[in-house]
Amino acid sequence: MTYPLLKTLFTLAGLVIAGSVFCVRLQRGLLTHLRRARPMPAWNVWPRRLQGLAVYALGGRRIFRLPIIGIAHFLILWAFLCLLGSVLVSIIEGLQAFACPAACPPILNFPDWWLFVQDLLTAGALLAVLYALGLRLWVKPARYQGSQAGIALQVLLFIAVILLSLLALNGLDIAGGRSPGGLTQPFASLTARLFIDLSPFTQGILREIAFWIHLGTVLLFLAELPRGKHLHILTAFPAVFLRNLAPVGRLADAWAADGAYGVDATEHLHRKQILDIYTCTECGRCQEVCPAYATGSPLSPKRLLMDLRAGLNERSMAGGLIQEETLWACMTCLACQTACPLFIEHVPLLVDLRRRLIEDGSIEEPLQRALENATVYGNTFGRPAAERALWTQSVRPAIPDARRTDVEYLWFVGDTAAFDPNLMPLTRAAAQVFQRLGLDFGILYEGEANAGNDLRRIGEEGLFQELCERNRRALASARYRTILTSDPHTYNTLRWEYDLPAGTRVVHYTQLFVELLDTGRLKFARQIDERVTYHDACYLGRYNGIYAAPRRLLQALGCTLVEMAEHGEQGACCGAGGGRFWMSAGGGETPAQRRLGQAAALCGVTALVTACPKDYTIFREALTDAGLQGQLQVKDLMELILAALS
Amino acid sequence: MTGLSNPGAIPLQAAVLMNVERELCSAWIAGANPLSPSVEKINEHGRSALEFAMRLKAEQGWHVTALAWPPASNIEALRYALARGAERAVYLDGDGDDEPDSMAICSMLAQALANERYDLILCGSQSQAALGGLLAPLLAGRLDLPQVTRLVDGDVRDGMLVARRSLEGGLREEVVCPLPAVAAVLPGESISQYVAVHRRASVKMDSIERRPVSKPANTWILKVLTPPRKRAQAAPASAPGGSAAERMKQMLGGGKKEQAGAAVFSGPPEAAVEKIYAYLQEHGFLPTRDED
Repeated sequence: MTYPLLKTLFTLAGLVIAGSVFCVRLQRGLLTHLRRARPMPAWNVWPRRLQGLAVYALGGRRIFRLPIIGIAHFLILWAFLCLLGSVLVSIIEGLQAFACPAACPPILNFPDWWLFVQDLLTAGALLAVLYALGLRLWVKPARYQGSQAGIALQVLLFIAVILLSLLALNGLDIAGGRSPGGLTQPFASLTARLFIDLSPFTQGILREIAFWIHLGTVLLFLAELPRGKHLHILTAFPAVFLRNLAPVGRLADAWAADGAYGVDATEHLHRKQILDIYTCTECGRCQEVCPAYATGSPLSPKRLLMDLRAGLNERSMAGGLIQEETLWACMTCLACQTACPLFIEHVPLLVDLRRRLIEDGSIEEPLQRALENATVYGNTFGRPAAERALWTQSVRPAIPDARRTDVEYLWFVGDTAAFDPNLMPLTRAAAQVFQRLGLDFGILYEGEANAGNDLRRIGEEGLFQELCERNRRALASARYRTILTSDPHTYNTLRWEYDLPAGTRVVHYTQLFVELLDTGRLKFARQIDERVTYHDACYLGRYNGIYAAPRRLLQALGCTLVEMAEHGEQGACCGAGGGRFWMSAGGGETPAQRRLGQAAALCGVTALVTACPKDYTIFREALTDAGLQGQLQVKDLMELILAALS
Repeated sequence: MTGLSNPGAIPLQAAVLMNVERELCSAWIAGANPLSPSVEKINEHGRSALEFAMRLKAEQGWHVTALAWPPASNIEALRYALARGAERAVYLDGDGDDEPDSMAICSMLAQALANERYDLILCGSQSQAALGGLLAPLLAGRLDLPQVTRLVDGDVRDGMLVARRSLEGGLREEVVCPLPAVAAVLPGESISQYVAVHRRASVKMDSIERRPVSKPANTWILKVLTPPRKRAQAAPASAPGGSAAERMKQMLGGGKKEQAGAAVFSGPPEAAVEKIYAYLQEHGFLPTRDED
């Protein structure tokens, strides 16, 4: 049997074996789980999806947030796409070897510009792989903690071998006169210099060795592809294309399996969630920004996806595969989702798992009390509804009841602002500010109930729906034009999840005040000459994109704003969201303490300003524990505004 | 009424008495509606009783039946019990929606349980709100069963209820009582499991059995009032230098003026009782022998 025939047979055998292994593994993994999962929510808006595919999958826009590794990944991605042609050439060469024992005519004639681009990308990707290897082996960033280092190294080595063998192949082709070389393939020409002095026979032997290394590694990689994180090479494109285009503030309605809400098995997940689980590249960007992980809690968004991927065949995901403490640690701050280059939705997945814990009644006591209070009294404080407006007692003139009087603005006060005795002065301050500005506003008094934003994210979908219905009825009984909120959590759910009648506008007071500034209705009597930093509330910032309005107000107040390193879209969470407000903190540093530490480290900053009652409460409580009393003050934007109006 | 059956063959039966309690809410706020509707919540004691039954179900495979009595708002407690995991829920339809007192409840329960098999009847220590935990003793008396009150924890072993009772001062007492029995559960030792609103809402009304029972000729509660409360009188401080008896006199008397009307008797209990008896006769609180 001649070598050309053997080459053909081995190529064919390799293709069949690697292809079969690939298909079987894909079938046992991704395809089986996709089939078992429930259909994904309806998707449409093709142009926007195609644009997203181009910008985020092919352009890799989000990966450039970490610039160097972003460039490295971009080069590897495009080298891969470009090298698909060379791989195809190698396969055809192997398959047709028996037909032309000497040298086969080229099947695919690539133009010179293609060869040039391919050569540049090969060299660039090789450098990128070396950088990535260095990062994995020596630098070891914290975000890689918990990732499967062995598999990551295996992938990088596969890519390095494929690229090196390709360079060798191209160099040997140039040395043998089969490729143009020169400026068309500058890096391959450099490689060719290594072989130029060798005899044609030796060059031929080396070329065959390079061919087998190249093709063998490609086929091995193909067989390994469905296992572990490498599969994102295939799934990233559909995952980005099918990404959720609904507002992030709108949580999908709970789906019931056998009468129970939530996710506990693969059958309860929808197909996009399966795709997300398989698409995670274990890059750790989500872990790096997760406030729960940063403060030592067992939650890492990356580990969550890895554990789910490893346990998709198991039942009892909520509380079993994923521990209860892990699920309750999430603050739903959305930092993970914002950081993910592939639009993986960690928070809805976590909420789905939590929904099952709620169904099973597995919750800690303070949280249970909050939920039961909300069920019975309509507020988490366990106070009678009639006491909701106790804070208004000293407000003069009395605030109109929007159910009896026509008002322009209906102020939806929110539980924390209405019931927390420590916050009542702030709530009264807000009322005073509204009155001084001459706003025509009213409240719902005892008709208002907890808006349910956090209760929904705890996973208590039934309670959320009940409260939502109660508030909708109260809102329907009032006559107003705009809903005004002072609580970002309330703002988010009213804006996105209440399905209010068309034309109903929901604003946060910072947005309204900026409008009043622009129209000249808001003028400050004096300037607040203070050096402050601003903490972005997650439900105002990441959920609703309101970053500029509070900053604009601070500027108008005369404050000198010093930004913390983590601000705006990258702003760290204070730990009040997702029901954590009612849960006991662990023993270590809390996210609020960590955030206060960041603020205190800023030169000359005397106050941390927030625009969220929950954040204000949690920061005030953390101030003593952080040992920063006397050094830093926690202020609400509203109190600064009232002081400037006085 | 049946006795204890073979645990291996037929599951033991626990009957749990559940009800809803109403909390009147009021707050006087300028411009606001002063009275908001009263809220209804599942009686905390009843929830603890149900939790104890659910533990028996989880550990020993007991069969749990929840029972409730009028008013019809108590059905919400039965829905809660079914959502929590009770097998059956029975509403004792007493021909009307008035709230019965403890005696009337006992009468209704006795009628309903006459043809039922049960091994343990569980209720909250204060299943009926506003009354001082009478239900369990009255029911035990009515059904001629042993009873355990203030149960906080326990177990069933070899046909016996081994119960831990809460005593004053944080003490615990362990008692053993044969089944069938009545036990009144005190909340506090363990937390009731949370029942999701969706689960409770998904319990259909037709899954609750309605058992007609005749309305007993007992007291029925028509309404709960909140009478004005008397302000407490300030009592003068006792003189620190005096004897214990003197200080006691002073406290009881409320001041020097009233001291003449107060008396403290010393001596062994028998002698003290004689003296008190004589004192009360002398001051006209008790009839004298001649009057008898």
